[in-house]
Amino acid sequence: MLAGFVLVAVGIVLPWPLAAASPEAKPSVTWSFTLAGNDAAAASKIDDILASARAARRPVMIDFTAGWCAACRLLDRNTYTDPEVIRQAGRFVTLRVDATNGDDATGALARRFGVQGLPTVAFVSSRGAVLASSRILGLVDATTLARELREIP
Amino acid sequence: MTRPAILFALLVVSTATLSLTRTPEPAAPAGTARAAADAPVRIGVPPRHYCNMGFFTPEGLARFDALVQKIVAAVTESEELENGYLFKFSGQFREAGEWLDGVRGCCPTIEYSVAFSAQGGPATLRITGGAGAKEFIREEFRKIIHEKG
Repeated sequence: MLAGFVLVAVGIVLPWPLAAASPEAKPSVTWSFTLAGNDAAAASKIDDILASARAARRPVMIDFTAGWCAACRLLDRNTYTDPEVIRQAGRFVTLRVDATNGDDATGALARRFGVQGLPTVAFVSSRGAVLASSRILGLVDATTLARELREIP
Repeated sequence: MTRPAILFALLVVSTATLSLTRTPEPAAPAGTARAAADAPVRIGVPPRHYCNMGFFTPEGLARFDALVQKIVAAVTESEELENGYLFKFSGQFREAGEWLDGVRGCCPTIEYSVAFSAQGGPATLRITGGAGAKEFIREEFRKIIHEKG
């Protein structure tokens, strides 16, 4: 548990830039953590991430996505690459949940955060509160998402 | 009766008629404000395009993926429309119909219409929508869009 917490804390301090994998890729929002499907420990990992973020007084942005989801691909391509969205996302601990496989663990996470469709962007405040009223379903444009990110406490 | 009196009488009658025929304003549904405040999901207006997460079971998704391969082969022509795309299908539409049911369930924010030509000619599927739909449709149905040139 302690080791997991340390790993999470390191992850929050040093986010892993997934988009940096390809030198030709446009700059994009970077994801501090990614949870793929079929991970029975996903729930406890999220608990650790949320606890660390709360301790660091940082809000959390959770992106629920899937490889088969066209709207998710457009969100990646058009919205997460926007400079203002990238800038605003910088103060968040960013977490991506990959629901491609639709397994039980991912389904449980989706239910926990009220996800009904993909993409969904969910938020947890810097004080650890799940902000249900701020949750965004669907392909959101960059201007709207940047505004939402500014308003998350 | 003098002319002003007649005019006054006409005014009174027409006002009364108007008040009788005015359509009452619809009452706000009970609990509207409460429902809005508690709304679990914010959907933009017009609705933002999304994929329905819970529509497919794993078995249903496997069947859908198999159908997509057949649909790719069955689409003989595609055409870009102002607000979406048109696709022409050869052969029977039975499996295309099954595929379309899956697509409709998975992508609920766009519109679908099918027309069948006379004499057993091709079936034509139009997939269209409002703001932002065309890019979403292009991304979702890229496997069956025949690029020109």
